[in-house]
Amino acid sequence: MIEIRNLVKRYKDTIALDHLNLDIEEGEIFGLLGPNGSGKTTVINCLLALLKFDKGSVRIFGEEMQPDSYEIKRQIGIVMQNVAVFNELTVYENVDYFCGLYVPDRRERKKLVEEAIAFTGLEGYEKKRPKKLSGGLLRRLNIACGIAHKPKLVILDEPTVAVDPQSRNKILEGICQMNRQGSTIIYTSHYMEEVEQICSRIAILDKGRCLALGTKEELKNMIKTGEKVHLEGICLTPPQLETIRRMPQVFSAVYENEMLTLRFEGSGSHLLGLLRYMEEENLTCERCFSELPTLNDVFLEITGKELRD
Amino acid sequence: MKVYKGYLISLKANISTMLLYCSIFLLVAFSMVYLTSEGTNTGSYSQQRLSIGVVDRDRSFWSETLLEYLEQYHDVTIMDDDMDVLAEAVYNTDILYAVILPEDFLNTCIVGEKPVETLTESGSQWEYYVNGRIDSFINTVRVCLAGGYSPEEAAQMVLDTTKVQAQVQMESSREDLSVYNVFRFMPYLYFSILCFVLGLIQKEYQDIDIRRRLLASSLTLKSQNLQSLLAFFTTGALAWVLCEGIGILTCASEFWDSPNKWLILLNGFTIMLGALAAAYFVGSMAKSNAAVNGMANVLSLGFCFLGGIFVPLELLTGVVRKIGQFFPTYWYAQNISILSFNDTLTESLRSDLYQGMMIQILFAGACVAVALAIGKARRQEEA
Repeated sequence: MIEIRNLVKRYKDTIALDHLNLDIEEGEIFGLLGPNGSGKTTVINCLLALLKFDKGSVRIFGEEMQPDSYEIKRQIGIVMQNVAVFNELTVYENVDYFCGLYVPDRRERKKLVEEAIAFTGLEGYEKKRPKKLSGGLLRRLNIACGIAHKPKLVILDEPTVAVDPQSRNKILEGICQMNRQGSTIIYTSHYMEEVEQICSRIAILDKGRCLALGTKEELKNMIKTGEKVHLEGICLTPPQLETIRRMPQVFSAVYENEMLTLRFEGSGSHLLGLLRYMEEENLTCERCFSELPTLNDVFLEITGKELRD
Repeated sequence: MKVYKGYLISLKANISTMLLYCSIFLLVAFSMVYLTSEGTNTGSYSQQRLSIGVVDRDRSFWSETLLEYLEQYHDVTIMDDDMDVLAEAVYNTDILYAVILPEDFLNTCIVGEKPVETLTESGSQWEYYVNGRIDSFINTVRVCLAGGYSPEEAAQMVLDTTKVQAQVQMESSREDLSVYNVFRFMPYLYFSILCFVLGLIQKEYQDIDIRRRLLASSLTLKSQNLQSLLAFFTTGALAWVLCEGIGILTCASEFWDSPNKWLILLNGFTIMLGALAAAYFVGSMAKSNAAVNGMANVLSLGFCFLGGIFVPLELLTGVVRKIGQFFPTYWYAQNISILSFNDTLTESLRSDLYQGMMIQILFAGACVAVALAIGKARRQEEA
């Protein structure tokens, strides 16, 4: 559906996109994950021909994307990072306005606007002006304005920034629902949990380059670090600690203040084997829990820095 | 026509602001009409009697004739020959003007060229007024004596001139004044309403995210621009109908009786174009509602003060007038004076009138061009 080839975008001396290549398939929720300033919004703006790029090409629905590719634009819905609505118009008028840029027929539009309002849970707020809405409702209005015309491709640029957890969950549920209804979604965020939760494929961006691309499982398998096990309130002798360190696939073992943190290599769970050893040695602990690798671990291992930096 | 309708819906949301400005305008206009219609002498001049103190050191035939002459115009008091007392009386405004007639008044001031010594507030209206009377007396006596009349005949002739009274009547009628007083404030209404209301709407359209959302839509850029332009002109036309309508309602019969009524409306249309352009400029430059508010106030009040809307052009000093010529309000004010006070427009007045209108239109064009240039530079920076 979307082909991005060798995309290069420079802002004076800064390279925002560095020979970026991406392919996005129809029907998927494609996540663009990266820290602030990694080039996510620039990709979106180049994709929509809102920015002139220095090199490369963007093809959407098999056609070259140009500023005057209005037929392609008709099938795209965009939800901006910042809330982009008119303060002088009511909720209904705002959704109707942006839908009207794509759907000229009034009767058809009325139906679509009502559906978008219901979809985003804005019923009862139709006559309110944006200034009277909470942050979460405002974000939902922003989404309603972008999707009311039922586009084939929906681009959401960090739609959950500064949104409370309840509204965030509603927004994420809505995105999945849109995808089930047939829309292809491009979702950018620097919240790895969100991307992990909803995206079928993920591209990790940093400094305008695509560092890794694949499903979340594929991405996690790319890295050396696997499961992380924490044992709190455990008393170990040096030989016991040495035995644990020599256990298969143990990548590192840190023992401090009666707390043991173990990192394993590869996939799979190693907690059971560890518990078995503790039973044999008659060892007890106050608390024990295991963590599977996250996208942050992937990012950390690839770039050497935290995703939230 | 979604962009066009969007502007109009936003306009509807600001209707209360428009009404507020209209109410302020109506209040000011009615006050001006009321104030100028007070009293009965607005259409003609009447003579004023001033209190004058005279020190007569001569006590001759001619000094007494001058006293008699002055008494016919003013309230004359004979004062002691003490300069301190005279100065104090002038200072306390017990008298407004003091005349000191020297000894041998005839040879010193009438035959001779020495001016009569006087004491009054320098530069005051009464200084010019009484000086003029005394000069008139001396000149008439000189002419009569030179013409061979005897002193008695000459004195009688001078005193007879006071019986001649000229009836001065203003060429324009009071009705014209009410048209002038209502329509001269129109620019404030146009600039306030359009800069504030359209400035706010335009500011939203200039927001980078909304602009990107519009550019990402399937509506062509050309169509968006045309619809915006049409919305601006519709708003301007509505403001024109509203403002001129209020003006016409305020001085209904006087307006319809004016032979220049259509030109008054045309002059209103050209200043509306100037205000429309200023609104576009404000909306394109301001980044917040407070900035729109501030810029709208500065522009509307600044233009109106410097352009001779609030203060008549005649009262503006030379430098202010020169500065005022850069503003469309100056040319509007000049045009409305021409149209209100001249029933018949000469070729020269017509030329001034059309020149004023052209300058207003040029101002509008320049304002839009500057806003477009700055906007383009900003967009290039964003890209």
